[in-house]
Amino acid sequence: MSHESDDIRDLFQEWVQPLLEQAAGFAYSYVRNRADAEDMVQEALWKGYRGLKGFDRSRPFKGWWFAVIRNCCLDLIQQRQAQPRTMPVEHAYEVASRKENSAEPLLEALAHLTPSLREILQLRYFGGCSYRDLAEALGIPLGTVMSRLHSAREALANVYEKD
Amino acid sequence: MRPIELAELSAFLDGELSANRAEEVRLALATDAALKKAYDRLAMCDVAWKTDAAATMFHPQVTFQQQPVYGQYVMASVVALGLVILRISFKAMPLPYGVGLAAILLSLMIAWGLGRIMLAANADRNRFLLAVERY
Repeated sequence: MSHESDDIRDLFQEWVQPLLEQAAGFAYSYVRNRADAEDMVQEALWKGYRGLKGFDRSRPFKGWWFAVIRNCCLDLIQQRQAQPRTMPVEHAYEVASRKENSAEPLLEALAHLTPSLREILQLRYFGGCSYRDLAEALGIPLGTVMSRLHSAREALANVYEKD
Repeated sequence: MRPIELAELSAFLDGELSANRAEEVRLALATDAALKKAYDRLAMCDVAWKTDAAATMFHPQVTFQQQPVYGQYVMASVVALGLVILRISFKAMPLPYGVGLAAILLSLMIAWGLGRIMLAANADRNRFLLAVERY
């Protein structure tokens, strides 16, 4: 293993380590079960490490890596839709106990929003992303982040009020 | 002072406004009851959603292993082909020279293989494990 590879690996670990719990929560907001969320974080780790050499270090790493996680989750959701699978017993228990999870009303309300409004809220609340991270992850200017986030909040609040 | 846009209430709540603009928003909230009501609704929702979202966070059991890359397969194929060509060319030489060179080549291959095994063992020991017990 080359010295340069060790340095890159250590740097990647240093950047990723503090973000793992938020990454897991963010992935969960897409895939709605822990096992798949864990798999998506794992896959994003591999993809992130492989793509690190091409990453511009002046840009926010969290936004960049959470965009990788989001893409992994969206690929999984597409696969699920294309090939419905049978559910293992442990997942069935998790689905049955969803009503006890306090995040479920929020996740169900988010499902009523358009994808662009939903994903900015997922990044903000589940991913804990700053405005800079949001701009990086979504590929939009900071000004657009501000207006879109506010629109998303208003839309979500309206969904709650309707219910 | 520029009128306060509703989107700026979100940015103020998130601490993402410049210091000057944040101060202007603060002053406006102190004097405009409708604006204050809108802000309070936003703040209340924000707290509730943050609390709910936090329930999904957990520490994932993940590991990091470097995946083989395409270039490594190409390199291995080129090396294997080179060895085959060398072996064929040795057969064309007089017997003592061919056997001698084949023995040297075999020694080099064994040394290289041992080196790769030792590097891989070292890499395996250094492989970072990101799994942490939650409780």
